[in-house]
Amino acid sequence: MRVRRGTFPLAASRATLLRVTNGLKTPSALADLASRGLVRPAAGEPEPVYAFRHALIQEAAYASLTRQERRRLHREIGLVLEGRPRAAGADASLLARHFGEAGEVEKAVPYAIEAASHAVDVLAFDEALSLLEKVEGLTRDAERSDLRRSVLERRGDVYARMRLGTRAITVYREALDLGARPADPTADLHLNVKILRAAAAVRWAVDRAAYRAAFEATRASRRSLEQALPRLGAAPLVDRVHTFAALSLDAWRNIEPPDWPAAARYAERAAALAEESGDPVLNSIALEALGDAELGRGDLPAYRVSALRRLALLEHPAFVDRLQRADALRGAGAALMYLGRYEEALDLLRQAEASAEAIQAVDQQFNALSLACQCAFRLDRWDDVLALEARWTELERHAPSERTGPLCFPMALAAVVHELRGEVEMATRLRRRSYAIMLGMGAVESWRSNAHY
Amino acid sequence: MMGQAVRDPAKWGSGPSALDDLVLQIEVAELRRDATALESFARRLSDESAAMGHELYRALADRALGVALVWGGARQQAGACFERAAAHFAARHVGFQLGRAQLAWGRAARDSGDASAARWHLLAAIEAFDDVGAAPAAEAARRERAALG
Repeated sequence: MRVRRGTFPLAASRATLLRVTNGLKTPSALADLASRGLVRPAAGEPEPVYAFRHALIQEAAYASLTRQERRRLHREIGLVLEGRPRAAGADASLLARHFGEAGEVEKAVPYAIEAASHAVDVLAFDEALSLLEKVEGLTRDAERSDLRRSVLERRGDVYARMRLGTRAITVYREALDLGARPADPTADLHLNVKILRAAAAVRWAVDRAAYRAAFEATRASRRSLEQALPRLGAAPLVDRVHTFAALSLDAWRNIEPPDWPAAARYAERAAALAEESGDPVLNSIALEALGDAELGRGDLPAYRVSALRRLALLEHPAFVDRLQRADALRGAGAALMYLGRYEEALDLLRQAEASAEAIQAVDQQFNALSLACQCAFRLDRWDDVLALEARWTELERHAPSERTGPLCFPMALAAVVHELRGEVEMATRLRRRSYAIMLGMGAVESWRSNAHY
Repeated sequence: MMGQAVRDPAKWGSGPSALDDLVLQIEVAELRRDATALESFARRLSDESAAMGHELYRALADRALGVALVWGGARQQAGACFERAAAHFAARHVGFQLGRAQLAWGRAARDSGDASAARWHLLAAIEAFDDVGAAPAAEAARRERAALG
């Protein structure tokens, strides 16, 4: 027998509800409720399913229970559901809800985290945040800082996945301020790595004031990770790879001026460890860091080799990370573009854009479009440049710049095309917008000395 | 290895490479009519793009070097540079750059007194500019061709 979601707590009157949960045979109790017109059997299921005839009946039944009774019922229902075979995701959400309402925070939190993870997998980011915010409230009430920290970290992960880096950093910092769990010496490591990555993602994508806050957060995280380096050997391999890769990224992305030797040093450590692991996704993360460092040195052939090695990892059956997949395609496209192999680059960038679009990785989508725009520009395919401009203009309407990243570069390329075609007004408008974005991102003296425009 | 590093790699945008930087330096030198700088940057781009196998940039370097050689009076050598550049751009359908190469070649021919060759190259430039919709450049080339009579 099953009761369809929306029917719990399973009763329309207090007496019946208590009888049901006090061990009387549920089918007879449900039949009783059905005979009174409060619930109805739902047909077509492999086992009996009952539903309330009206949502108000359910509400009235629920309201008739005392808080203690509700909590007990939620717990009972949670335990029943827990004992059943379940599909991942939806049931985890239901379990989180019931154990949450029962006040069983230790059980509610892991289920909420699991449900949120599945929600992210199907791109239901708002649902993931809602689930986590609910259990976070419970952890606060229960004064369970250890559980609250886990929930905050996952909330930060959702924001980071949405490329809302400044919010992610705020939440990660909040988690760090709760103090480390004694049983998990790598907990701080994870959070600090995530802070460095989130700050790197918003560099040039948010205004100066917003970036300043992110930048401040990176200082503490960088210091903490550097202090942890002598003890890092004790951490799992996966954590070591993530730490070195994040420090490499931080060295050129968050530090002004970029510390390329440090970026290369950390990337090489990450690459060596990743190779030892044999894990294709870890190798992809490390090769991304290595490629960036090589590109930073101006070593385009080495960058190409790293980018194509990373691309080859996508063939591995264990390569399941869709974000890394999109980024590996983008990275290989960029490497070929820098070497003037534009046709091959465009092919990879089209794949990167499609992969990014499929997982709503808006920043990756814009990156791929931006690089494709650069290829089209170099090939004098001006119609393609303008078509790409139309695409990102459309996307821009649905995503804040923090998610897209800075668009000044492709905008400037489109301005050049309009100028060369004699469409001066349009060119001027785009050029001014591009320039305004650059001014918003940072003071003129912080602009890269060899920026194109 | 190139002398200048990429300052901000392509991640989250499209940072210019050191080769891109040379292309920009060439444009600036040409606008300033600085023959010495133009030749220097063009030769560097030629060498470095050849080392990287970047054919398009090598063709850009050829065109720029041709212009610098014309400014220095070495028209014979310049013709060979323009020819290499135009051949690459034509084969790859890189229309605007083809127009620029033909325009520069036409001007060099005109300045050396070869009006017939100049007309031919200027016409090729006009066609290339028209193909990509570069109206102002096409118009300028038309005026130069008309001036030849």
